[in-house]
Amino acid sequence: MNILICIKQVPDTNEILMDEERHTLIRSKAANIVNPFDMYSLEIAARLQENRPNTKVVIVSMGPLHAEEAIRTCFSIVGDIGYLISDPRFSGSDTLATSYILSQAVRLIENTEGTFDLILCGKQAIDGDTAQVGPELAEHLAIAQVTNVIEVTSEETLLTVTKETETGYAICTANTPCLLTITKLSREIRIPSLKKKLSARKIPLEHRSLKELVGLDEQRIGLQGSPTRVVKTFTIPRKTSCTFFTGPDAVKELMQTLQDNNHIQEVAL
Amino acid sequence: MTPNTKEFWVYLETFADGSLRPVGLELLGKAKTMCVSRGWKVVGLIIGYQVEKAVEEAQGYGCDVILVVDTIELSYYATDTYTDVLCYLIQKERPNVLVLGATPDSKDLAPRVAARLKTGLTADCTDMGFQETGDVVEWTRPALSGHLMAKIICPKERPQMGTVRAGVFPLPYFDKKSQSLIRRENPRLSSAEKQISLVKILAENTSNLNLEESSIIVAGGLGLGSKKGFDLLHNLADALKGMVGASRKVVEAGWIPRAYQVGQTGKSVKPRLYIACGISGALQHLVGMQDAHCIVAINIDADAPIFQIADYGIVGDVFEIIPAMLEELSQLNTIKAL
Repeated sequence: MNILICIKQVPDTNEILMDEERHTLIRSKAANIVNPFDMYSLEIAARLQENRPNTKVVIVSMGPLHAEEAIRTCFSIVGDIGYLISDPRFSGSDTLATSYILSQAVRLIENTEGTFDLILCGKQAIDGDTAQVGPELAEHLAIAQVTNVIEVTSEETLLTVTKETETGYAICTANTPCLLTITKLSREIRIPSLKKKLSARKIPLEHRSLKELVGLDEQRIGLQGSPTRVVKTFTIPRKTSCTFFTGPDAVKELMQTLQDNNHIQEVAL
Repeated sequence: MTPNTKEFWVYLETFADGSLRPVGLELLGKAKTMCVSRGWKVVGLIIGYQVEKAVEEAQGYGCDVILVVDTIELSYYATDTYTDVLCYLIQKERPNVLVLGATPDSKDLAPRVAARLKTGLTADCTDMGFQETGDVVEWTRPALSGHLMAKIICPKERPQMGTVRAGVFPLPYFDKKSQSLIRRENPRLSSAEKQISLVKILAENTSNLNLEESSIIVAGGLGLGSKKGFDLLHNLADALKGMVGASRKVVEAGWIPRAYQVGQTGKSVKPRLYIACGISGALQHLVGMQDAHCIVAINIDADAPIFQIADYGIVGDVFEIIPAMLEELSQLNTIKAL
């Protein structure tokens, strides 16, 4: 089986600091990490490769040159080769333009690595949180998709896929080729061994840019190729303070306050 | 695609039992207020099998038109058939706007449709409204895990598409006398073999756990001490006619199924009231619930970060405070009943 994993380097949003007075982002302080949902894709692929050793795993990322570091991190879990797709003209791309560039990159990489049976994407990236690039990529490639997947097993060209739903799980079979978006797994992600970390340095990492993406329509990328525009960003000021209730009547006062403010109105008969 | 209609489409998703999901109705209400002064039509879209009950219900919420596709091939959600149907309708009728609830199925569907039609889609919005002049909708959504809000537009391509979270807009009033024009469509569906087939559904014991659509959530964290602590939480949720939520740590500890998880790797909720019990308030949890209209925190640790975003707080033991809350509730109810 031939697997492609799409990953993204993102700022660690738990480390982001806001300039509270100017309501702007202090982005430079945030460390860059591999998008957490993409880490789950790596675990899924590593498991598939263990069970079927003739499986090839290719990692692709679209991003700035320092995203190379993120692909290297992935290699310590899984990956036989990586591709970083970088070009200044990609910047400003929204989800439609991004997924279009990725679809062109997939076609380019397939020329060398062969057709992919399975494409894995994290459910969403924690910086944009749209969950749109995976399904949009599947549409550009005209292949089937399953979203919110937590488990995959394979048998020849048929995959058995467990998908998280609002009320539990659904089990589907999927013919390859297909694209899966992976959400938080019910098991832990493996911790890379030292040996794996060391050998990760020797895994080939190729660079590609716009000039290699022959056939890509430049009208469909970057800011000008993106149907959506951000017109404004702003922060919502944090709530000023919490009102604490203390003393023997604390609960009584709290419930009365909630009642008075109609927060629990439906309850009162 | 040039729009030739002043139509605002709202996708009305149904539950498995055929009833309408509240989020679609909330969006109908908002669409109606947006469109009325501009003379635009609000069109409700109902796709499925045996959806008559939903069509009936939708009429009471003020759609000008209800567009219905009712056929056995649509008896459950599948990406390919639903994408085909939606794209067929859009290409035929050319609406200016299409909004969907940010539910798991609609978030599977909307990007597929947007990519096929090469139009713009804004995800997980918390507000929408027309710009002062023209026909462009401004979509508001959180970015960077809620650190920042962004206003996004789709100036040229049509339809302008967005998915909007549940609980953002109030449910409109139901008017039994309200009538809608009903248009039925019968697109021809592809008979190609299915690439994805549903084998079975494994429901956890969480009947219809649509946490995102609950107006009251009582959530628990490690402070509950054990799996048994959640019994108390369920009692409080039941008394408030709300639902139970949970932090990541207790889900990972196996105290409660994952469908209850609120936060970055769980669900994003915006209830009217969120009561956090024994939750310290890791940022990953806060990003999933900080937009609640009112947040109450109960925690033994006065320095817990959850208090920084709470409206009301009590520092103390959840095992003393929750029973006292139940007691207060039964008294409040008795007074009302008199």
